[in-house]
Amino acid sequence: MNEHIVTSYEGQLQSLNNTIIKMGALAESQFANSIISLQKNDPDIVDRIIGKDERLDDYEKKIESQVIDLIALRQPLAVDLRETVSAMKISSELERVGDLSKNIAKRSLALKLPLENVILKDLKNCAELVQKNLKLAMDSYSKRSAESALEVWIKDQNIDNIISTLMEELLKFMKNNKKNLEDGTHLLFIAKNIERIGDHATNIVEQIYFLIRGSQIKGERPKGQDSIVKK
Amino acid sequence: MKKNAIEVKSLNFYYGKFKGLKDINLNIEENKITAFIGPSGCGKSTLLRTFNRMFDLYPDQRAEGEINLYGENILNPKLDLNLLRSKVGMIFQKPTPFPMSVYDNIAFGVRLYENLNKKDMDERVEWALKKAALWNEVKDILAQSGLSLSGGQQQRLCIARGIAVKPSVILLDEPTSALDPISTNKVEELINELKKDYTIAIVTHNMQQAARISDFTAFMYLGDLVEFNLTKQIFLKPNRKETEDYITGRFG
Repeated sequence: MNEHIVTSYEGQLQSLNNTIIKMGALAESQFANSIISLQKNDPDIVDRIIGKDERLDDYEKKIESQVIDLIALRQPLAVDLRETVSAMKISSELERVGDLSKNIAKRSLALKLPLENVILKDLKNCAELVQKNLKLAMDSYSKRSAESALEVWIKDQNIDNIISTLMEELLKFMKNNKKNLEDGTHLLFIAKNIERIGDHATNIVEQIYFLIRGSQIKGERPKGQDSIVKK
Repeated sequence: MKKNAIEVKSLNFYYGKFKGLKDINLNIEENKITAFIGPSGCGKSTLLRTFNRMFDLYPDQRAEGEINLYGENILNPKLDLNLLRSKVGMIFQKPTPFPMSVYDNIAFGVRLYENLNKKDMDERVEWALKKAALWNEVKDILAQSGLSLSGGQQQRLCIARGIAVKPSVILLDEPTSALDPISTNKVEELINELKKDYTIAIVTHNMQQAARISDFTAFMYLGDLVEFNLTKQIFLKPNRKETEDYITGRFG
């Protein structure tokens, strides 16, 4: 893409792009740390996550004001319009990723089960898939790659399936022993949070695809089988 | 039902030896607003001027190809130009009221084509001024000179003058570039009203104006028609990189 004739306009769009990339990196690291906190049960890590969440909120506000400035002062068109609108939507998805990560971290401290518990390991493995997807999503943003965006979108289905299986395991775990109820409830929420983060990654790539191609990703949104909720 | 008012086929246009339009093919749909955008010298005004053969005034300018107005090729040299110009009206960048009364500005054109009695002419003048959303502002000053009106009023007077001879197509060449934003809004509102009864082609340098008022947009560059599509598509996601570069201000 050629540069704008108006340098200050180019600068504003570039700055918006940079803010999204920084916000994405922070959201990714918040999520990664929340998974570490699941394995380490370390209050310091959790405190740090809670502290940094405000920075994500600040990024979201900053992006919102950058977007409003662009619309008010530049009346962006075509690719600039798509950049501007997508930035606003992606930033709110990233903000949600932050909230869910914070929630995972807080719940991790409440867990009483041993760290080598097999369900915890499964959760971690699943979280790693989501992490990869979120990273790929943000890479597809910085590289403006519709192909990578589509890849994330397709992979999300697999993650949803794994989570469904995990949820079944969790239900068994809770049924086995009443004492597992408290841990089980936290783990259910954590699993759901991980799944939601995966969904946000999918929402993000839908925006990125629109940004690049100017159309929606074709076809039904990928959905894994939902084994717990009967249709 | 979609119907084309104008069909342009393999149109080439020459200013002496210079080729101003290169193999233009495009249809202008009836009762729609079609906008032409592109940098200065891209051929958009040239193309507009072929639709009523305005170029005939200049001996070294010529057009080759076909321009069918409701099926009739207007490039046919035997065509009655006066009749053509009553069917295809034109409004220019600078308001050009005649140095005569508001009333006569409208009646002048009508008298060229029709022989109306006083009552019918009064009715026609009122009708045209109402269509041009100017009646309420000038009904008490019809005898006053057209030149005494404000710029925006003058432009609407010119539009009324164009409408008065009941054309089927109205060509507008940057009709608001000399007007303030309020007058511009009024003219845009008027253009939007007029499309119910007329087919409109407009050349504009104001991208936002093309986006606001047109149904279709044509992007031209160096005499070529680069892209022609629904306005929504052009301003959200044009198919050609040149179009995207131009409308986002990344040209060159």
